Formats: sequence, C-alpha cells, structure tokens
Amino acid sequence: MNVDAVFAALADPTRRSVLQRLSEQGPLTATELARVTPVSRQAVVKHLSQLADAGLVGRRRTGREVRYGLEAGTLDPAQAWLVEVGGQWDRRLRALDERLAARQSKGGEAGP
Amino acid sequence: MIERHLIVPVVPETLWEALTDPQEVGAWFGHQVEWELTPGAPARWTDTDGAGQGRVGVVEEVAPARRLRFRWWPESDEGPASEVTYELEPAPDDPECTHLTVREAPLPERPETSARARAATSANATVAWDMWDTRHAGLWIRLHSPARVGA
Repeated sequence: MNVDAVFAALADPTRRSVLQRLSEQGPLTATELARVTPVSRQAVVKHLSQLADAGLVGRRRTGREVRYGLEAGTLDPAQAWLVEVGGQWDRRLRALDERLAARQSKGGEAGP
Repeated sequence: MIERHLIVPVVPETLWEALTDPQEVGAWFGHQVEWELTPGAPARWTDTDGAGQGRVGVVEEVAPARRLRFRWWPESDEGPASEVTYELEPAPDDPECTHLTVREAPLPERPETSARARAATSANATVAWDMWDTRHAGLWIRLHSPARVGA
C-alpha cells in the first residue's frame, strides 16, 4: 500500500494540473502536455515520472510515441485511507469530547 | 493528510493529560498506549477491543500542553506508517476552552531505530509534506476520485 507516494505526487500543483488535463483530454505525449503547462518539457517529464512511480499515470507506447494516461483506480486506496483514518479520528474525538464534557460538568476542573 | 479540529471545555493542561496519560487515553482512543513523553522513545498501542491490531511507533516531539507528534505503524507490518500531530491552543474567545487540531499523514517509509535512518526519513517527510499542499491534495482526491467510498 503506497498511499504516501500518491499523496506526495498530488502535493504539487503542476502535477495536479497534469492529472486534470489527462482526465479531460485522455492520453497525451509529454510534448503535448508541456505546451499547455507553464514549466519546461524537462520538468513535465520529471513530474510524469513521479506520477508514474505513484501509479497515477501509465505510459502507453503507440508506434514511436509515448502517451501518458490517467490510471484512475490508483486514487482508490488513497481515498479509502482518507475515509478509514478520517473515520477513526471522528470516533475518537467524539469519545474524547464526551469524556471531557462529562468531566467538566461534574466539576472535575479545579476552581478559578 | 487528515486534519480534524475540536474545541473542548477544558484548559490545555487538562486536554494534554487526556491525550497523553495512559490511564486516560484508553478511555477514548480505542487503544491502550504505553509510552514515555520523550523524543525518540518507543511507543506501543494495544487494541482495547482485543479483536484488532496492535501498533508500535516512536514519539517525535513533545511540547507539554502545546504539541505532541508521534509516528506509528501496524505491529504486523501491513499498512503504511504515518505521523500524528496534536496541536493545542487556548480557544480564541475562552481561555477555559482549548482548540485541538489533529493531523495524520502517511509516511514514505518505516522509521527504523537507527538515528541515520530516522534522520533520512525526516528529510523525506519534510520534502514530501508541504502541509498547505497536503490539505489541498486530500480535497483534490475527494473531488476527483472515481470511486466515492461510503456516502
């Protein structure tokens, strides 16, 4: 489970915009992406490499071209982690809140 | 990556006790904790239901009544390691209340016990986690994930 690589890949606005564009336009080459991204083609290639390592994009070779396409399923474990761990904290904090509120109303605090 | 906020009707020192005293933690956390509040000290959590997983980890930062940071991971080694931070501040309009911020973020690799490995992991974590961007990355996942889990 490599949700940390997914989150790290998403923690950059350029990479998020690359994913956005791939989801809107389908698979694109690095050159096509560089044309619509305000960074150099070299930077785009580095970003695509990190996105590929995180499993967020896949490389597809069509003839002499390499196209990068969104691997949409990769977000699912990251989404699941957010839901599961978020849910755990919601339960814990509810229990903490109830415990402290009960204590407070019993006069558990030392007086001013 | 996860961030939650809570305002509680007690002063920071009382909240700190609830968050850190093993006698108190078991009552709300869902695990019993064994730890020392010293950076670098090992920690262990035992599931209070008995059915679930134990966790182990390391205390990272201790600022009494202000901040606690620790790293933890499943004892069985299945699942990511993550870092949890508690931040405590007096509530802005009521000094008898405390604003608690909880954050949990997954980590690139398991912290080992050697100082060198831990230092390397900290550097990776600093590079990988710009906190402003990770909050937005979490939101981005929610907006763009094709499988909406739950409702």
